[in-house]
Amino acid sequence: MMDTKNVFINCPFDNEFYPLLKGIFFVLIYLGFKPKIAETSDSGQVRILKIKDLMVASPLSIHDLSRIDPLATDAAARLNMAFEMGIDFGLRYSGIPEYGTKRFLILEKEEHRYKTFLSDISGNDIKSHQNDPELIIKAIRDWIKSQGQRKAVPRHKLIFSAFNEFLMYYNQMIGGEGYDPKEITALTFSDVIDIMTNWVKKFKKI
Amino acid sequence: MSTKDISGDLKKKFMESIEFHKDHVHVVEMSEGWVIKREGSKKTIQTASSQEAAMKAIHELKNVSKVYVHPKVGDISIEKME
Repeated sequence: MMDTKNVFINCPFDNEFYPLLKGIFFVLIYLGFKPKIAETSDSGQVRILKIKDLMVASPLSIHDLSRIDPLATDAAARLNMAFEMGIDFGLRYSGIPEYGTKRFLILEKEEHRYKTFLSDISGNDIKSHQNDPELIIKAIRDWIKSQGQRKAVPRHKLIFSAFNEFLMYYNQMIGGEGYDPKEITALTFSDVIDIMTNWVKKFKKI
Repeated sequence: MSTKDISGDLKKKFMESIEFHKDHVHVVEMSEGWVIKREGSKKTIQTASSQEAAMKAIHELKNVSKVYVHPKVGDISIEKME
């Protein structure tokens, strides 16, 4: 069942990407959306089926292709993100009316780089973030605004400065309990999302 | 790769520990400059062209006990004010 506030996130799971992922979570939560992401831990369910369920429940999706390159020079390309994006496109063009209105934001690290390896996606909303959390927050904020939000959408400057304030709080709290805030596996994504949601709620109340 | 679920008690502790200190100031490096704002505030005090200019501007502010500097690259640094 689709929830209009659900946003499916398809991105790499590694420490280098984690600051960007936290930025994605934060801007979505700040704008009143619910990030939907597969946990990195194995819950026993076939992973791709879980991912499909999240896509089915989300009218909006963010697909990040910035880490499609191999992690090491002699390693193979990382195709999970492109594969999952293909499934989401399949849903959109399946002919099932409910999925025909799905909207995607495709993120890349450099402008037009995708044309060298996935030119079929031309014509979609594609933004480059240059591995900068500020730019990723701006790209998502601008995309959400373009989806016809009825409520006023705050400027990215406010969201990014609030994100930095949150990080200071988060790093102190998590670090104080012996967790490494830079380690993507330190806490589950649902824990991070819960903590962030509560912080944003309190920030907005002031 | 495995992740850890934190306990309910710890999560509650995190939730309850959220506090905003108006005498704490944050300086955030952004594409348009160094943005200065008070903790918990939704308004920017000023955008300075450099970190040095931002710190100079903060020294002119009243009621500031701590300054958190958030550079694009590197860790958050803390400066205590006299």
